[in-house]
Amino acid sequence: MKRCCSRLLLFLILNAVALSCVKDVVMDAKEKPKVVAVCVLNDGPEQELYLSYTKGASLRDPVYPTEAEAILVDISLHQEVGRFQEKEAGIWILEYSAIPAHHYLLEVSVPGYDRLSAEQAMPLLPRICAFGQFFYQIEGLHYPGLIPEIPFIPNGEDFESLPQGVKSYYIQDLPDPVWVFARNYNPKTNRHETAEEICTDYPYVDPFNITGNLYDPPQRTNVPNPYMAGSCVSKLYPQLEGRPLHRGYLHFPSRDLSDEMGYWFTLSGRMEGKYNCKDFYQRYYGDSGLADPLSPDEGYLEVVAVSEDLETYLMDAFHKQEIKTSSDLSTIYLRDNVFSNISGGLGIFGASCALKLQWSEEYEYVDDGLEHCVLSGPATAPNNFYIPDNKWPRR
Amino acid sequence: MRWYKRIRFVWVLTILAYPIGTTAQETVWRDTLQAAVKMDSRRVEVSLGRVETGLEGVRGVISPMGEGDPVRWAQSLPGVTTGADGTTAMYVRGGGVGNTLFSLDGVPVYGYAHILGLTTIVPTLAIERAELAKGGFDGAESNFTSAHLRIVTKAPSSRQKTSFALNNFLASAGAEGPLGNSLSYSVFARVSPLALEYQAVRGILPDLFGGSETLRASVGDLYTKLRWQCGGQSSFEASILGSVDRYGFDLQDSSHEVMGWQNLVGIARFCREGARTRIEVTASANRYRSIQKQSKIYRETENHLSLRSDLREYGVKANLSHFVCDRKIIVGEGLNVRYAQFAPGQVDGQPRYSNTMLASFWLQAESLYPERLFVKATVRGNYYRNMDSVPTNYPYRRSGERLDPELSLSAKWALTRNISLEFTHDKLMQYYHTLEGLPVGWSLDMIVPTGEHAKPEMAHQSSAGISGSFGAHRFSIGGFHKRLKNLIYYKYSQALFSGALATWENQIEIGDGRAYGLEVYYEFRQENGCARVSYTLSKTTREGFPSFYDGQPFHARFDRRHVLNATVQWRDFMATFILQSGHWENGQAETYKLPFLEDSWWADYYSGVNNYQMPTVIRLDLGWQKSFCTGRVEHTVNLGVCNVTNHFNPFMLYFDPRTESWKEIALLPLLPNFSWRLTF
Repeated sequence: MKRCCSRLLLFLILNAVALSCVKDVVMDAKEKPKVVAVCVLNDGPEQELYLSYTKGASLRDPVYPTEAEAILVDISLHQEVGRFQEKEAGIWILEYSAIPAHHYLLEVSVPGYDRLSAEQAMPLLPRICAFGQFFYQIEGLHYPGLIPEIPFIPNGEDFESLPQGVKSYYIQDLPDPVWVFARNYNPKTNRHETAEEICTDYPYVDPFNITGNLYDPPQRTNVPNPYMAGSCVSKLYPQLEGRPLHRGYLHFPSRDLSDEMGYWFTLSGRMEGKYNCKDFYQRYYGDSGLADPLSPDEGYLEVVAVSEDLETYLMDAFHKQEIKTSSDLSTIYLRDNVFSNISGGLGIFGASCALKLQWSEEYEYVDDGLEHCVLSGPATAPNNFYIPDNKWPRR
Repeated sequence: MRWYKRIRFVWVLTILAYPIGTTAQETVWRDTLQAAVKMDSRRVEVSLGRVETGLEGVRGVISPMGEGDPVRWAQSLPGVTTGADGTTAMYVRGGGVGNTLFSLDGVPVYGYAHILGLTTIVPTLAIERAELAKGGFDGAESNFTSAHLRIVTKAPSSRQKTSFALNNFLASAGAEGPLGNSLSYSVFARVSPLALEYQAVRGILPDLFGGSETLRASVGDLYTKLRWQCGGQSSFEASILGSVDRYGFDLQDSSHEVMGWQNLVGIARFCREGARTRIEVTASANRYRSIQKQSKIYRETENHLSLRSDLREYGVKANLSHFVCDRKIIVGEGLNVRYAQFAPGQVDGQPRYSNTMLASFWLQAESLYPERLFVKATVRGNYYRNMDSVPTNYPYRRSGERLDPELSLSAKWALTRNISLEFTHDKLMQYYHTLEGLPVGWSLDMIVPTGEHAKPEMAHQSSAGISGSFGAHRFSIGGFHKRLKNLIYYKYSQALFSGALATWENQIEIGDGRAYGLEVYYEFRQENGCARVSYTLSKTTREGFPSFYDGQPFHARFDRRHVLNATVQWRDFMATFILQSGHWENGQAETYKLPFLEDSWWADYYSGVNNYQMPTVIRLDLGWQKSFCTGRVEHTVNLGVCNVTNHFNPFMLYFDPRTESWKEIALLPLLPNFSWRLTF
């Protein structure tokens, strides 16, 4: 009986061993890869086209087409703008500056594949500028009590101002949707990185990406008060306290503000590293205007107006990136593809106009109950403020 | 609408009462013609559309349980494709898993899998015969579009019999016998010691399991029947089948998974057999519930995902058949009415039942002209109503109501004494859908009804071929073509785990399917043994789903191009060789780099579904069976080894959240098996 039992046990053991057979599997369908074309037109001097193939799950590195023909056509002018030239593997260059409001056609031919094509219209540069806390006289513009400092507007010779920290931003019109984000400089990687959270008091900001966190302004104490003896408490943009923080980006949908005389707003968030604008006035007070004078180790705000398809893509891509990093297990079952407007392939053909603005890490004195503190107060939006068209960068 | 209701009521009543009136005139029943098919324990009178076997034929199939079961027997036939290796899922002639009807004495059983799908819930001892119909269906067979595996239970024995059996995964006991002159009973029960086996092995060899995993399993079934023989012609039977499958697996990182399903089927049947007429009236109640839950730590967050499916069905049916024209023609008619409630959803959510009614009326005629030509024709009308559909102002028919015709034709022409030509054609409708498109790793059958958007599935199927026998050799060879319409596919897998499932009809895509293939069967039989080979060459596609491949065709999940089953039996030894092309799963995404303003990211690209082919299934099973008697006790011993070559045949895929990778698990690598049955 004992022998019989031990045989039975051995039998069961064998069964259990058999039940524990597990293998890793890479489910690479090994289908013919698709051609990916990525081109976002801009008003800079050079356009870049990225061409690649989709990469199967079992491959380590992407593969790029070695032969391709890519042309850009200005549909508004009914003429071919030029042909992209291969610069390096996967990167193709065309020396051309896209014209705002023009329609473009991109056509790409890769041997063995159908022709890829997409159309897109360039957006208009948004009329957004930055202001200091204290306002000074601008020649030809008179606003009782508040005088704007417009350090970022080219042709700024019309303005007189003193260098001050940027405290407020002004939107005069928003013909295309705009994405605003802060680029922190990371000295460890020597690269700019998008600040993880950002918030604003602009009333029409899209709440699609709020994180659930609220802005709690960093605070400093014992800050010497230049106006009074002693020290005071100061906070970073205290007027934004309690505002919802957005994940990485502020999205301003396009809006007709012609009847509303523009909007004033402020920005803050998890800006890190150097954001120094003590001398920005001098740097930006030139014909070139915006980005070039920034020192490489400085953070900045970027404002990007995007075309219609690029807007759709960005919204979709944002959600897809959220899913990729989500801890929701059910997301592994999602099998949706990100938006693409490339006919015959994958990728995105979009267009954008970018603007770089300064942001200031300016702490503001707050009422701590001590009489000796003089509050500067937040910048107050002037009534009936309007900047004439000729003071804005040409569209 | 009162006149409409009255007419319907009278019509239903008349049909149900009709058999009672007719039985009084008849005396003796003789078996009518089967649709050209007969099969004994080890031998098949082959046919293209319909195959039948007795209990010994069912038991004779090698299986991981030591002895076969009806599904394993059916899986060895041409035209039948299996699900994952070792499971009882069946795909017949291009249909989906929910398109094959599994019935017990004519009553549908929706969750027939047992022991992780290794066998079926019907105790083998209760079975009299099994029949697989693939074409040329009878009028009483309805609400499926692919095939019908019909299990007929046996009448309780006229003498007292007791039996015990033990195999790898089940211990069973049964008793049957008379309870008087006209009353008899049978009871069969099985319970699985799977969890005890696991615990025993884990206690001895803890390193095998990493020390912290635990398995909980509650598996069992019970079948009982009470039969009252009212004179020589009439009988009344009441039977109950109940089954439970519930498995829980805990891992050391406090993840756990629960999977289970339950069936409860109650059948009351009256049968009267006369010289020219046979009447059968059946009332049934049926409940099928299934759940699957996962609690896993994923990226340091505890995730709880769950799904369930609940189906209750109550039915009444009456079938009548009688000889006419000097016994040259058999005419049959019948009515089948069923009321069903469906509640798919999350486990913890509030169930929302959809109520439906399906009534089928059928007429059938089959004839045999001078024993050379057999012809059968069936027409069926279906009335279906989903009572949850939104009311409309349509004047003659309420919203959610529909009337659909069905048609079956079959003919067999004996060209010579040895060779026959066969042809079948069917137009079929199915009103219950098993959702396709469940995420990889989720094996739950979600059954949902036809509704506003989900139309009934429809199939047009034709088959033709030749069959014959020459001495010890028998063969059949034929082809089939099938078009499926209104197949539904759940597109948003992730939404299954949210409240969106309550509105599942808005999440589906509707498309079509096509299948065609060649079926070959060959048998050689001698006194000491036999050899059987069945081979299917087929192609099954789905198409017309806008979200997948722009509506172009793609592989059905179990589109196995080649399916070969070969069995050799010599005296008490048996060997089975199985070769099947791999089935299709959703492949992992391709990736590509995209910009996002000043940053970049890697996007996923899914070209479609069912685009990754799993490895070919190859399995060699060996078995030995011996029956002997010791005194009054009859012993039957089966010993065998499944997958002798230890070929890795994946049973399922699952996502490991710890490594964030997909894994495949094989259930049957080199699995010894045994069964020992005692009857006295």
